[in-house]
Amino acid sequence: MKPLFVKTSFCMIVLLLLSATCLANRAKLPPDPRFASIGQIVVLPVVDNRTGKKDKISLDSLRKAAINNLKHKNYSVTGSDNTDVSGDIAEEDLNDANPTWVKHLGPPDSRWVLVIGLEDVHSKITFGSTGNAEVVGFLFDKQDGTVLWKGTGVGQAGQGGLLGMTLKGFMSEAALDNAMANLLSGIPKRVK
Amino acid sequence: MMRTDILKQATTMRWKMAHTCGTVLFVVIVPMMAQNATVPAWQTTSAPAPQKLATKVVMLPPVVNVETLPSGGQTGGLAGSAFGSGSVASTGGLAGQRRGSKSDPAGSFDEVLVSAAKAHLNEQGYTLLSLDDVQDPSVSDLLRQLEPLTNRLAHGAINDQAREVLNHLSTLPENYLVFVQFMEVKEGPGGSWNPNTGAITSAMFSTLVRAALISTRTGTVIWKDENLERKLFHTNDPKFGKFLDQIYSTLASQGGNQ
Repeated sequence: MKPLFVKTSFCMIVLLLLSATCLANRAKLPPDPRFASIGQIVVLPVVDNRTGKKDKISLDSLRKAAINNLKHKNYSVTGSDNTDVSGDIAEEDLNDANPTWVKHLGPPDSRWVLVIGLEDVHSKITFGSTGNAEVVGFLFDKQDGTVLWKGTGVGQAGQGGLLGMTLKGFMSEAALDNAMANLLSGIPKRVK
Repeated sequence: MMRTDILKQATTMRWKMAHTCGTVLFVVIVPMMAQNATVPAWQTTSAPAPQKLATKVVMLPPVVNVETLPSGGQTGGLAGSAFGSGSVASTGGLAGQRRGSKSDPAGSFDEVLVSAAKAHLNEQGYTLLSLDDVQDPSVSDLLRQLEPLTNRLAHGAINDQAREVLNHLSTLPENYLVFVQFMEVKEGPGGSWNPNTGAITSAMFSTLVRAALISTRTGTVIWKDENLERKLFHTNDPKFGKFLDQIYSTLASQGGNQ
């Protein structure tokens, strides 16, 4: 009876160790070369793609949040107000970006350009208050005029009850913070 | 003698009175009748007179995008903020498609958009044509080149590619108005309630419709409007009809300024 118990325990321990090793190896997959080769990312002003009534939102704070998020992921990031394209950046320019347009985006000496679009943000009173937000992001590689990465991030925030109702003014920004964090979670952390 | 004079005077008086009354009636009543009978449409309403707007409008097929926003991973609670918050994961990925594919309801929305636009444009006196109705093959070919740009044009944004096509169209003898419609339906995560923390979230749905009227003569957007509702509609929902009416109601006041 005792040897059987020892054998079973041994097998279970071996299995556990094997699975742990597999998980550890999985986490150490080599980074995507396209992200690994990124030098400095230039973040352009946030494009306001909202329709209809617009809540007052600081687009500059949104850009700063994006810059800080990417810095925490060990990327070299800077902001620039120089979009360098004729006129404002339209939603359609981002969705259907052609290489010629991409190559003229941002400062001339930049290569990787991140553009964030604010699609929607609003808050409302329910049995409390809630906020919803949606942002999109496009990381362009100007060298070959391609979209290196693009993603959508949505964020929801809310609190029920009377306390929640008093917090309505904060819900848009809270939802926006969540949306931005979710959006940029699609960009992998860079190894130092 | 006296009697004859009196009779003559009486007759003359009657004639004068009749003449005066007739004149008064003519001066007062005839203009009133004329006003009621012949007031032109452009004097009573701000809408353009249908006879004057016999412009041909070519309607490009509407584009309907149905997009599913990322969902899942609801983490309602007090983590990370002073109040409850929920968040969902991003769909970010390497050059992934942002636009969703057309789903089954989209086809029905196409029909509703076309019929609503037809009703409103016909009401304004425009002659409505589909791309297949355009007789001139060169015009038809050029207009088909605008089809992939529907989203952009409905937003009123004319890029270089569209401008080039419109410049070609402006050189042709017949002028048209191009009518474009774009609809985007977004369906995101639903609402939630966490009884432990009191955190709540609202569902994320939205329906956006944009439409624009572009002149091939000037290459400019002569009318555009859009409407956003944070809800989903069924194609047979009367509220969807009203939603579209809100967009086209501005066509009457602005659409005639070509």
